[in-house]
Amino acid sequence: MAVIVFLDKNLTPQEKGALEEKIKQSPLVARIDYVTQEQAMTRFIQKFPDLQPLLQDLGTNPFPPSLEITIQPRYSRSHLVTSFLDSLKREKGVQDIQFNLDWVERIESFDRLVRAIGLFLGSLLLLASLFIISNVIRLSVVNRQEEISILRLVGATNNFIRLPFVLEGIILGILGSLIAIGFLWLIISLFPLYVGHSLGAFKEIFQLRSLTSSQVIILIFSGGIIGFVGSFSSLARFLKI
Amino acid sequence: MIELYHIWKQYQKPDWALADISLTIRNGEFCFITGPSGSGKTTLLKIIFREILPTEGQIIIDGLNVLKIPDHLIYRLRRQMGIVFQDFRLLYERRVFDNVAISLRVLGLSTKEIRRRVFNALRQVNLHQKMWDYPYQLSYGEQQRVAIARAIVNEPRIILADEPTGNLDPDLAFEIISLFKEINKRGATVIICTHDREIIRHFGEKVFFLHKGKLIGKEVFPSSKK
Repeated sequence: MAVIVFLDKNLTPQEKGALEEKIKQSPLVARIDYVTQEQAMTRFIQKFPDLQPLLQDLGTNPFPPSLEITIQPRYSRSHLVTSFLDSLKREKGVQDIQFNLDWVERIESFDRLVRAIGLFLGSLLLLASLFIISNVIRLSVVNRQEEISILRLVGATNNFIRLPFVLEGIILGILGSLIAIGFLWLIISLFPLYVGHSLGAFKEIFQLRSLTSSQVIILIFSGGIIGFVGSFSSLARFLKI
Repeated sequence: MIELYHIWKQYQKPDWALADISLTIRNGEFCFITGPSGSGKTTLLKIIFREILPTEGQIIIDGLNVLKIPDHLIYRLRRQMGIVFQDFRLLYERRVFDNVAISLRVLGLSTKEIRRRVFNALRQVNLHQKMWDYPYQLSYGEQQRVAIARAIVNEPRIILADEPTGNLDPDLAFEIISLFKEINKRGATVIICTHDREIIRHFGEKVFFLHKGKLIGKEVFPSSKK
């Protein structure tokens, strides 16, 4: 997310430096670039070469100097940025600020919606995983009923009988999460190749990130936990020891 | 010593599967429980093994009240007993070795110790050469011997056998009971449920007679006679 702060042409280099320093101190700011009047005009001419004679007729450079501020993605919440910009507006030498608040709010609302849908679907999938693992273990218990009864007769402890089923559940859970991670990696790798170009301006918004190593570990661990809970609940219901 | 005091068992009202059974079996005894089908032999064996609970009564094994053992500690009692069924109860997709080893795996013994003990148990029942066969490759008599090997492999103090000769021809039946007799000579208490009078006549030292859930008689023969 970028914010453009247009500065007063008459601002001295010291005042500009002080303002830049002050902005840099904010934790919201990831990067700050100073654009001179000349650089602004060059950019304009590059983008609109047909209008160059018009600028020459003016005789002066109409573009003010500006500061292009990149906001840290994790601080892109609009209310934080809004209060930051409000404080900036009060600074000496700041003429105007260009920042599309409506869009940010819309994207944030969309983000919240996507998160809510994700949470809902995630919860559904979690329950489905528990149900599936629980049933797989149940089938396994039914298939091995004879073996279980023999184990009981020869003096196996409850934990000895339960252990293979619990391990089966944990392995299923971990395998499930590994497959999910694999698919996710595949989607993240293939998404830009197949859809990336057609996204155009939305490319920045729909940028897909790979999972971090800690997220991968959490996912695998969660798979194991789901497997454990699924198998244990199934054993509690179907394995009469 | 196995002591049963006033054991009553009811599966369904108003019939009693067992009615006021009291008996004592001393350590190292070789005894039979006999009676017609439905007389309660298997029920009595299951109660001793604590697979089922009696409706009333007490069971004391070596001074321990079996009915007071909490469910999660029953395995301790069962590790002191070996049980053999008429239908063998073998795992047919596992080799003979694994069928016998199952009794030792639950004890958490080392692989080396399991191999040694399984081999010895199978040698006792003369099946050590078929250790790597599958049960379905064996005759009925051999399958029953595998079940016996499984029951004796952890050297239990008590062996319970429920109609162990039910599916076997008379010669094989005698062979199997002789095997139990050998195990008994090594110190284990052996209790066999059977309705085979010929076997009882030949091997019986102590015989309990059941009829319609009641203990109607007890006969003790001097062991020197056998």
